[in-house]
Amino acid sequence: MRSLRAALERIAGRHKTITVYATTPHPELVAQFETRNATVVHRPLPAGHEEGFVVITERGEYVGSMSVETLDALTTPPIAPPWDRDPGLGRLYDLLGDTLFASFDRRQMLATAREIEDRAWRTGRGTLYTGFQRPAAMQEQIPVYERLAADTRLDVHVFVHADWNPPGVAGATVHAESAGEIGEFWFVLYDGGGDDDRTCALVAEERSPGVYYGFWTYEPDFVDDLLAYVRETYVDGDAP
Amino acid sequence: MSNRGGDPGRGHRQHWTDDWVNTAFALLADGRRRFVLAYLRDYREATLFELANVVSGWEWTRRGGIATRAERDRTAARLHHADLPRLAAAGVVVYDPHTRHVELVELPPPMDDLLAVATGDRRTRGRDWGWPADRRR
Repeated sequence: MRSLRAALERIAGRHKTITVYATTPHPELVAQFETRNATVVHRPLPAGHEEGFVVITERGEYVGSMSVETLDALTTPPIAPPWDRDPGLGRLYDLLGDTLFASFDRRQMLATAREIEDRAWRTGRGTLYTGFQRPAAMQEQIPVYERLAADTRLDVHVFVHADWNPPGVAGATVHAESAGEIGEFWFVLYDGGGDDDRTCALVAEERSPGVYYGFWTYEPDFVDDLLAYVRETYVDGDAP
Repeated sequence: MSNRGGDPGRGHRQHWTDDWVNTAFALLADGRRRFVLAYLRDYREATLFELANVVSGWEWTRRGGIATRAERDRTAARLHHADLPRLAAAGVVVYDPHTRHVELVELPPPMDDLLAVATGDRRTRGRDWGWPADRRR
């Protein structure tokens, strides 16, 4: 992986189809998911299926199905700290991994970041890399990351732009960078603590205020590539 | 949706025999078969996997769950081995188990009406009425 921007491009090339089976269309899903790599299609059902459900396919292969209400919940998620989450949410995020989202808001971004942090928290070991795009975002999350560092054996690294004059994060390593992609993306990467089933990553770019463009993934090879890129570019060679 | 005129499609008047009534009610006595027929009534034809995608989506998500590949494949197996051959035996659909393609032949108007009542008629559903004790086996 040569850059986070390359990672975004890679995901943009993977096309998903979200077929909405419902009595009437759901335009809110079109707005949220119709991006370069997801097409939203409406297939009417007879009266009595106003709520409806979606079937997600990728290159003709079946991925999964959830109710429109459930999918809406992903787009208006509850926010809870990593140690206090509904474990059922993980399966929903799993079905929509490797799908580009064009316009997540801050709340949806935070909920997705929590999904990654929750996995790291529950595993309790391994490496967690988090990079912020705004100093205020980092400031808000310091208590979460301090608790992750204190209550687990996670090796927590936080990446920020040097211009922010970043505060310390107890128990974590803060990397202040002035070049490269740090400060241009919000990313959360977790190596699974040695377990491929637990790797996960979120990469997003705030393209206009409060509007994020990005993806999350559970694919071990892809997550490993992302971790290696950040480690080789921004960690290796740093003074301890 | 169910305007097919009075003629069941064979070009001459037919009336419902007891056998046909029994067959119609037996076919419609299962929620999955009703859903399949309602879907095919609108879409006319489908591949096995298209149908399984929709049926498993409906069955698993209506109670707030999700369907994954495992559920979809199980649904496909049941459609392939049980539901579609049964509908085909009654002449309502044509199902080719080799190409895995199913096509609606026709729904006789009385059956079409029953299906509409069973699946879509919210007026009947919404009203408060009691159901007498079940006398079927």
